[in-house]
Formats: sequence, C-alpha cells, structure tokens
Amino acid sequence: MSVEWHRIEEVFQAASELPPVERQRFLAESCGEDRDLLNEVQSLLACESQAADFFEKAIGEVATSITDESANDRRIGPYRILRKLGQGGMGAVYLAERNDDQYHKHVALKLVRQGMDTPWLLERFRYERQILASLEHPHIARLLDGGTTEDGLPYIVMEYVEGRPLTGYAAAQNLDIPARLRLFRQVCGAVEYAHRKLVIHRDLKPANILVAEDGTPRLLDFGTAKLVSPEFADSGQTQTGAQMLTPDYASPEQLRGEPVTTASDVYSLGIILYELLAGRRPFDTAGRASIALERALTGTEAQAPSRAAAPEPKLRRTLAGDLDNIVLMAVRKEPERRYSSVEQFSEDIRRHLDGLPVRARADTVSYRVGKFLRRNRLAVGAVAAAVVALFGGIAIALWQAHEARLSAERAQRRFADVRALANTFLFDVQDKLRTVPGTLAVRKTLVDTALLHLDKLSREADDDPALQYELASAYDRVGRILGNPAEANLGNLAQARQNCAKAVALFDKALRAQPNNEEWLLGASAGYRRYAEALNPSSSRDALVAIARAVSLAQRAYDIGSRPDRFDNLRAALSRQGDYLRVVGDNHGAVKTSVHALEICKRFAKEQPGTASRRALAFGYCAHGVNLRHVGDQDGAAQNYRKCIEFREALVADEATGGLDRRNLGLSYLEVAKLEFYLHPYDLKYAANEASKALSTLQSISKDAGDKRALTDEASAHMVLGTALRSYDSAGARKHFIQALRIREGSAVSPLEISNLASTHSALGQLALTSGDRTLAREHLEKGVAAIERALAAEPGRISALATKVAIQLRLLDLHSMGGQWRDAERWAKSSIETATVLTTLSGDPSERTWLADALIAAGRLRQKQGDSAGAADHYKRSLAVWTSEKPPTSTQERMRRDDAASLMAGLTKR
Amino acid sequence: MEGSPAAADVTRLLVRWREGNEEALQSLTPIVYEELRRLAESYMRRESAGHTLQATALVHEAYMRLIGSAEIQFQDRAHFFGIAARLMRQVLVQHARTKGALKRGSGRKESLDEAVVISAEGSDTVIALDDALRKLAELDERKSQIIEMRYFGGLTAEEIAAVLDISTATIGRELKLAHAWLYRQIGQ
Repeated sequence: MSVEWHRIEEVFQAASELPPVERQRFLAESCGEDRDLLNEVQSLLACESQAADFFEKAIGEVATSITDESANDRRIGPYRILRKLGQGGMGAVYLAERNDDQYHKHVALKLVRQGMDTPWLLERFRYERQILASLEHPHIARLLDGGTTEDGLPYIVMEYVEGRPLTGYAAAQNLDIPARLRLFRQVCGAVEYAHRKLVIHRDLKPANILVAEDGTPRLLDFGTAKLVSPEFADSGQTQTGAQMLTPDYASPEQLRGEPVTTASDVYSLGIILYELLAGRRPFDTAGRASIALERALTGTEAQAPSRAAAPEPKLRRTLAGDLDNIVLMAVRKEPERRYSSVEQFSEDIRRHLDGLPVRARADTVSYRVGKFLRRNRLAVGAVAAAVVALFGGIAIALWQAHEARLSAERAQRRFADVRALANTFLFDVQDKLRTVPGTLAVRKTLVDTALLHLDKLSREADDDPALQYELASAYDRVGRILGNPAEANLGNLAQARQNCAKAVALFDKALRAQPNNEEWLLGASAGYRRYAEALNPSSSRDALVAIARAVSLAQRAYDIGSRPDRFDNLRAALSRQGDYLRVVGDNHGAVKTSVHALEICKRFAKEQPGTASRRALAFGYCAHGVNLRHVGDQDGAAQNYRKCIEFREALVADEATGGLDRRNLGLSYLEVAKLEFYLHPYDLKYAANEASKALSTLQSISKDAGDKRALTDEASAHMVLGTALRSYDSAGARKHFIQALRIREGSAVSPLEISNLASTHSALGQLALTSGDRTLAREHLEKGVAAIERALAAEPGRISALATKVAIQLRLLDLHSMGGQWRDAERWAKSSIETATVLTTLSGDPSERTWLADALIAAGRLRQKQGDSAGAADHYKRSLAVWTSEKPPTSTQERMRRDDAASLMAGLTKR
Repeated sequence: MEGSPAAADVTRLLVRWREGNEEALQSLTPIVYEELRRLAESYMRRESAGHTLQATALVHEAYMRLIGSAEIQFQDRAHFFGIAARLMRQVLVQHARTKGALKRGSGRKESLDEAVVISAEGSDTVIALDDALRKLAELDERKSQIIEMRYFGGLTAEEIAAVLDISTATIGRELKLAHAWLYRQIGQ
C-alpha cells in the first residue's frame, strides 16, 4: 500500500464522518497545498453516496440472467420449450414445438408460474381455457391444446402468432390513417364477436393484439377475461380483475373496482385507437395504477387526439374533426356516454372512412376553423404579392447605384440602404411569413426571385469590390435561408451550398482588392464558416478546408483588432473547426481549437462584459467540454458543461429570449446526457434524466413547418433519450426511437441525415432483436443497411457513417446467427470486418479499433457455433492482434474486448 | 446431506487450512468451484422464473450441499464463504463474458448520430467490476477481498471480520472507501 493511498484513506475517512457542510473546511485544512490529494478525496466523496446499492444490483442482474435461460429446452407434455416469449403476472408464455410431430409447428405455451399455483390462480387458468375454447374467430388466437405438467401445473397451448403489437406494426409499416382505421376495425370485429359470446376481454392493449406479417390482427390473452353469462354472474372471483389490469388502458370504472361491462372494452379500444392515431396515449400514467386511479377519480377528460398530435401539423389536421369526436366518444369517463357497443364504435369509423357523417359530434369548432383557414389563405396571397414587388424595388435601387457610379461615399451610403432593405426582405419578411402556415411555397418563390436579380448583378460586378462584397453577403444570406443546417432554414441544402460557394468566391474577389478591410474579413470569415456548415453534411473533408479558411480570415480580423464582433467571429470559426476535426477523428486537434477559443472568449468577457460575451463564453465552455469528452477527459468535460449551463440558464432566465438561448440550453443538456453515458455507463438513469431535460427544452421552442433545424434537434434528443432508456425501459426507448424515425424519414437528404436515419433504424432493429422479434429486427436492419449504403455512396469514407455501417452489419450477423442461417450470417461477418478495416484505416481516432475487434470476435463466435474451431481461433487471434503493444487498450471497454478475445481463445484450446 | 463423505471432507479440509496447511486450500478449491458451477448450470436448466437468484443464494446453497448441518466452527464457516466468494466471482464473470460476447451490442460502442456513446448492460458491470477489483487489489488488497466476500459471497460484516481477523467497525469503514473508489473507477 502506497503512502499516498494511506494518506487519501485517512483524509477520506475523517471527512466522510463529518456533515457535508463542514467537509470543505476540513479538507482545505488537512490537504493544505496538496491539490492532488484534495482533488482525489473530493472526487471519492462525490462517489460515496451513489455507490450504495449499485454493486448488489449489477451482480444480481447477472445471477438472474443465469436463471432467465432456465426453461429452455424443457419438455412439457408432448411439447419442447424453445424460449420465453413473455412474462405475465401469473405465468409465462413460451414458444414451443411439438416433440412428436412430423411437422414442427410453433405454438405458444402458457404455464402457471411456479409458486403461483394457488387455488384461485389455477381456477382462473381453467377459466381462461374454457373461454378460449368457446371462441373461434379468425382474429382471435385459437386454443389448440391444454394439459398438466409432471409437477401438476396446468398449461394452455395456443396458436403462436408471429407478429408484432398493433401500434408497433402500424408504425413500422408506416400505415396511413385510413389503413390504421381499417386495421383497427378488424380488431373491433374480434372484440365484438367475443362480446356476442358473452366474453369481456378486460385487458385490451396493443401488446395483446398482434398483427401478423400478412396484416391480419389476432387478439390474445384472455387471461383476465370475464364471462357475463348468468351462471358466473355471482362469482366474486371473476370480478376481481382490478388487480390485473394495465393502468394505461384500463377504464375508470375498472380502476375504481366497479363492475365491468362491455363498455370497458369500448374504452380500452378507444385508448388504443387514440394511440394508433395520435402516436401517444391521452394520459401518461408511467404504467402506475395509482396515477391512473387518481385520474379516474378526479375526472380529467382526455384532450383531443389532434391536440396530442399538435407537433405534426399535417396529422393534426387529419385528426381534427370526425376522428377527434369518434375517439373522444369512446373514451368518455362515464360508461353510459360512450358508444353503447363496439359495433357502433366500429360503424362510426366505417362511416368516416366512407365520407359519411358520423354519429359522434363535438361542437362546431371545425366549421369555425375551416372558415378561418379560408380567410387566412387570402391574406397569404396578398403578403406574397407585396413582398415580390418590394424585392423588385430593392434590386432596381441596387442596380441604379451600380450604374450611376456614384461617389465612393454616396455609394457606400446607398449600399447601406440597399443592405438594410435586403435584410428586411430576406430576414424580417421571411420571419413574418414563417409564422403564417402554408407560406413555404411563397418563401421559396421569393428566394428564387432574389437569386435571379443577384445573378444578373454579379455578372456586372467584375471591377467593383464593394459591389462584390454586397453581393457576396446577399448570396450568403440566401444560402442561410435555403438550407444552413445550423440555422432555421428551408431545408434545401444543395441549393444552399451553391449559393454559399458563390458567396465565398465573391468575398475572396473583394478581399483581393482590400486584403485588410476589417469588416470584409469578418463577413468573409462568417461566409466561409457557413459554407463549411453547408458542406459538412455531405463532405466532412471539404468542410475542413472551408473552415480552415474561415479561421484564418477571422484570426486576421482579430489581429487587426478594433471591431467588437471580432471575438465571437473567431470563436465561432474555431468551434466549428473543432467539430469537423472530430468528425475525421482528430480529437486532439479539436481540443487545441477550443483551448484557443476559450482564451478569446475570456478576453472578450473582460473587455466587453455583457450578454454577448456571456453567450460567447457559454459556447466556448460547451465546445471545450465536447472536445475533452472525446479525448477521454470526462471530468474536464463535466466541469466545462457545468459552467456552460450556468451561463445559459442565466441567459434564458434573464431575457426570456426563447429562441437562441433556449435552444442552446437544450443542446447543452443534450451534451451532458451524452457525457453521462461515460460518467455512469452502468446507470443510465442519469443520462435519461438529462436527455429528457434536453427534449422538453428543445420541444418548447416554437416550431414552424418549414424549419428543419428544430425538428433535427428534436430527433437527436429522442435518439439520445431512447438509447439511455433502452437498458431499463424498452417500451419507452422504442417510443422515442420511433418519434426520431418519423422526423428523420420525412427529412433525410444529406449523407449526414441519411446516416442518422440509418442509426435510428439500427437502434430500432437492436431493440426488436433483444425482444426476440426477428421479423421486425430484420426489417429495420435492412432498411438501415440500405440507408447507410446511400449515405456512403454520396460521401465515401464518412467516418461516422462507416461506424454506423459496422454496427448494423454486426446486428444482421446476430440476427442470422440466431436463426441458424449460417450462410447469411457469414456474409455479414465478412462484410462487417471489411467495413471495420476501412474505418480503422481512415479514422485518426484509435478507439475506432473497437469496431474491428468486435467484428472479428463476432465472426470467430460464428465459426465456433458451426463447429469450425480453426476458423474461430484464427478470428480470435486477429481480434487480439488489434491491441498491439504500441497502442494497447486505453479504457475498460477496450480491455474487455481484448480479454474477451483471449478467454475465447483459451476456451478453444482447452477443448 | 449430513455426514456425507463430501461434507466430512470439506469440513476437514477447512480445519486443516485454518491450522495453516496451504495444501488443504489447493484441494478445497476445485470441490467448491465444481459445486458452484454445477449449481449455476442446473439453475440454467431448471424452471424458476420469477425468483431473483442472488449470487449469495448460490453460495449458500453450495454450502448446504457441501457441508450441510455438519458441526463446524464459525471461523471455518466464514472461511468457506471467503473461498466460495472468490469462486463465485469467477463463475459469474465467466457467465457474463460468455453472455456479453454472445449477445453482441453489450458494452459496445454505439454510433449515435454523429456522437458515439457506450451502451452497457448488467453483464458488463460485472466484468467492469471484476476489472476494477483487480486494480483495487494492486492498491489495497484487503479492500478488494472485503468487496468480494460481501457481494459475491454474501458474507456479513461479522463473517468477513472473522476471515480477515479484523474488527467489524473496520470493515464498515473499508467498505465505504472501497465503494467510492470502485464506483469512480467503473464510471471511467
């Protein structure tokens, strides 16, 4: 034991005995000048409280996982259990096949849980069998068999429905609203049939409605169903359903423990339809009965589905009206005010589908909205006409200024006027138009008109640097409006790029005449920065070249040193340069940029205290934090994020500016969330917590239909949150991944966006794989592969896209390996090694080697599974060789890879 | 189980080891390890869904099988658990490794848009803990042993105190620092 350790222990023990308030003083006294000791003890004390039950939980999980695999291969009667499909309150459902059959048809076998075989439960089990036996409907899973195990436990054998839950199916198939409604009506048909047979399901929820690949839904799990026939009417047992309900879908009367009728099934169906249409449920109970009950008792009515779908204007419009009324009628609190039967409910949906008036009615809101819209449409047209005329005027003024060859001073003034007008036109008017729905086309027309004039002017600008500069600024502005991914934009990146290219060419021309014009240097630097931003999504390397130019221009302006905006300009350029260096794997280079940028910001704050410099400092800290995280300095990253958030929270509170500061705050929460994956990799609640803060902050920014950036931000937050939730709440994770998917599917154009879309598919595929839904997994992963191929075709060698590709290929390997499809699995093994090799070669970041190590281990395992020991050994050896003595593993994760390979090798030779 | 030859054997070996015979430990280890491995495997086959199996339960079951209700000194019993804890750690880490390597995606880098994050599962925690424990042992062997006995063997503070021959108060203090150190180590 070293002397230092001994001393650390001494101070730690003494300090931990003290109340927290006294610790700081004590530490200062006992550590004196020894900063290392102080830091060490402080960081240990910080971990003390969090560590409490952490180990017990982790070890418990692994121990439990030993037992999870327990039932596999077990035989029950003539059936062989293959794997567990699900676990309910009283039993588990397994995938099984008949042992003695010539054909191996899969069945679902439901078995009472050991230790749960109470007389009451056994009674229920028999009851379920009896109910199932009486139901024969194409949309209800059939009862096939039943019996008793050797231990005397009853089991039920049902038709195995290979499908996925209703809502998941609709999302995966991207069904439009009419298709969803038709599918839902089939479900209604099954429930209606059960009701006719006097059976109330009582636990209707998407998870109990599986849709097979061919699109037919099947109703499952009559485990809590109730027979309403007279001979059971008095049986108290059958009414104790309250303990076995799903809070999210249970009707208020069920929650209150009151008698349950067919109206309860109507209610649950209503909630399901709500979710199917709006993408969320009307009440968030977090699965807890207490919250649901409170709602049932306090009498909150559901808000209209169209309002729940508000962030998606198109969906909102589709739902408003009939569909709102239909759903709300089904989920009314009082059973007697709902549809009096499932049949009526379903019939109303049919009428809506056929364009007939529906029975359900709210008030005349839709009439009023319709009228307002018609009025508004006229206004939109008028604004557009006025603006186009106005722009014509500006262009003519500019033209005249040029033609007249006015004196330098007057020309300067004239340019200022023109610029002011152009600003009004290109920014203010654009902003105003943005708040009016449906002006996207008008805004695009305006930009096109502007471009026409600009192109004409620029042909005349050869010998006039001042005009060149003005034109460059105008192109720059047009580029920003069209599609700068870093700003609110119209989402036309290709056109934006073209205009940025024109802008920087003109900036360079102008600067050749006056290389030390400070204003021009700053303008050109910003122009190059935005050019880089427009380039990055499709070519990170071109972006690096452009941003280097932006930095050198900004540095020159900074060195000349008189204008107040020189600080933030240089800061912004450096920050972007850091971002793009990271993209190509030069993380240490990125840190250098943010160190420099922070120096600049601090000088800025000193020379000009105020909002602008505080905002710049916040940016500086955030960027530095991100860069530090990428070189593995988690503590440094955390410190910088904390400072950044401090500034931003103050900025948001201070000025209630909404837009920029709020967005930045949201983005810094998101960075903290990503950091939490490293700080607490085994307790992702921390990451989830930060990610949901980020999501709600970013969602609170008002969104415009044409503003792509806000949607992109939101999708990123959904992804991070989903990834954090995955380890402990897969339903929540799926929800967020799907929301990200919805946004990205509609908007992915550039290689970066397409690559992000692929990651989303990959995440969903992985989720499906862990839940055993191989059909769904395959679908997502194949879509993911297709997307990532597209991204890489557009920009070969994009590092992050290559990493995503390996991830997807490995998952496809797993998928096929699990299904015993060796040839396909081998194909993916081979291609994943190829991609990982390219990635390792191209990337400057040595931690990317993990991918190659993973791919080789996976391929080795695959060989081993097929009995090819020599092939397996070869791959393990290659995986081991990834970690050379010059570049050994640097993190626990990397050491884990190396040890895995070594122990797998050892396992082979032992045999 | 009482009076079974195995039980007599194990008890005798434990006593001899306490008396300073190192070879006794050599003979004891494979017996205990085999028993633990067998138990873990049988759990894998047996239906017992819903029961949360704790590592400590396995160790206790192994104890019941190997020693049962044979007369045994408290100290020897504690020593048994001390050995079993180390072996249990091996069994679980092995299981976690197999599972981790089998189930791709655990603890693997995840390409999350432009950023890359690590996603971890419970099985990785055990491997990471094993890794961290080895490092702790280099720094402070005793603390690593205490953690091992506490979490992999389920020993009480009194039992740990008996094995290591220190006071229970010391155990509490040692645990506190060990917790914090390991937690920080694993987080990195």
